[in-house]
Amino acid sequence: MRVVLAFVAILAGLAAPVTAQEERSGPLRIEITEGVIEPLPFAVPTFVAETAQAQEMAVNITRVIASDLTGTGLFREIPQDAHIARVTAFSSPVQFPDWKAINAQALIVGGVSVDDSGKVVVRFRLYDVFAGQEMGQGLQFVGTVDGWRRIAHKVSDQVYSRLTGEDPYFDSRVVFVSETGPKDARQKRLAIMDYDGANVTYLTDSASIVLAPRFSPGGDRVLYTSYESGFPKIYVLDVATAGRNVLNAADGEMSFAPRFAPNGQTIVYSLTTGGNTDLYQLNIASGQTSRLTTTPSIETAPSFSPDGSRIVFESDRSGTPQLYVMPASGGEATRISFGQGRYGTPVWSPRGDLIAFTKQSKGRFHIGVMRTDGSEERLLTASFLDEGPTWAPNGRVIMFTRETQGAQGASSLWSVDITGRNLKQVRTETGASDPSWGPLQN
Amino acid sequence: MRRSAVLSAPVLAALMVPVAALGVGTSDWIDGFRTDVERCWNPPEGSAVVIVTFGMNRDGTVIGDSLRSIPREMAETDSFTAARRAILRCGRDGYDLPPDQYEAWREIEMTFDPLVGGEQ
Repeated sequence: MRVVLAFVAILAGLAAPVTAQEERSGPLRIEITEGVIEPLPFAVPTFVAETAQAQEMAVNITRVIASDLTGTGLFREIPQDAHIARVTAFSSPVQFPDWKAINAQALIVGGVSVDDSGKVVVRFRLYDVFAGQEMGQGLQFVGTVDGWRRIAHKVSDQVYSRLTGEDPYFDSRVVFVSETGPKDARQKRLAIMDYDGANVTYLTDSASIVLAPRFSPGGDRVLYTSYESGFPKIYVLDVATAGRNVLNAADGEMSFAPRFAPNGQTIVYSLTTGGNTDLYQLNIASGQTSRLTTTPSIETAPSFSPDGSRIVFESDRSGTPQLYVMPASGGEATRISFGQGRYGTPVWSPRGDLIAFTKQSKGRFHIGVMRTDGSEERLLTASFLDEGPTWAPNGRVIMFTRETQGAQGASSLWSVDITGRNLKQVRTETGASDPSWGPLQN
Repeated sequence: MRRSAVLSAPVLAALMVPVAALGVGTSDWIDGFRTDVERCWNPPEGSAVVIVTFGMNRDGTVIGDSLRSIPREMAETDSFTAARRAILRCGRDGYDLPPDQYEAWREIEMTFDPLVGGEQ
């Protein structure tokens, strides 16, 4: 490009001066190749409270929307005290010059009403300030007072999608293991929370060790491993009722690392019998099982491709833990990880294009992603102990467990964008590990 | 992966602008124009190449409703939205362009190509 420009300059230098009267044919053509990567500045004035009961909620909803957007690292909120225009009614004409003056590129305007029955109505509009026009159509969400955060996330999802072109993910939940107590006597409970750590609900008590919860594709059930019987067994739990059933529990067998197939009807898991660990598939309704691997090595951590046709898993058949892909019905597996170190806990992206994994190399742990054929490996994090990635429903963000060193070491949840940007801790009220990110809620 | 420096069609087209149509110091104000827009262009992740055409007023401001994408279907993409936002945002006070060469910059065809400049 620079060479071309120099050439243009030389040509221009040779040319005779032109006057304003001389005409050019066609438009002036310019190529722009070097943009900036910076968060897009947006303004979100406090949503207009359209009923007296809505005052506090309007403030809270606005703050959650701002937090959702800024939390992505892709957007920067322009503080409200910098706003020039005041939005006093949802349908007021937008004063674009005032928003341009503070360099707001996107403007979110909304109204909130709450009636005596507790019904909440939230309306919003998104504007492209510099184009001076609305982006998409205004939308209205109806919910209950208790569900106000979900409504806020719904608005954020719409704004995020319209501005980035990506699928949304804010109105989603994460099931995880809540951890309390010292490291040598840690109590673990299954818990569920909003993606941002709010609205925590506990699903089990701390009487037994629980591990590795995994959401069903619909988000209505959770698979997990519990030592309740003394051996690790797989349970399926109904999220709405917290009722649970043990799956495929033969005495003396250890079953663990379960994960749902995309159809929600079958699961794949590890089973240890006679000192050997292989992968099996189970139809939940019929109880029918089939064995998928038959090697003397340890096969575990299976995860389906989103179309259900393939499974990525971890195996030490080569001597060290590595990642392999095989047909969902079993058969020949292809090794996909070849870097230095040990690879584990692979998880297929909901988009189908990437596999996230844990890598241990030179005493450090990493969360990384690679193409499904193992190419273009990228490490996104590095620490004393990072492990267990899970994908946001849009395949843009990964959440994982980070554990700190030493006797006082604690587990916490972190998230990172697939570009490696925006690494941050997810606030939880207790220690937390083993996250599984559920689908976007309806 | 950095794309090789193959000349794209718009660049070749720019080379073919009649020499007589460009005045002394042309590259200076074109470079300045380009830099001004680049300063405001925040290409979305995975952004596609988009060509935007627009008209200019004599005072260096953009004729707001003249912005179009080529092809037209690109107008619905966030790639076009980001390009349009860049042109309008950094040109809100008017671009610094030579008034005596207005005919040279009265109509602009700007190609936004994130694959040339950045790591993908």
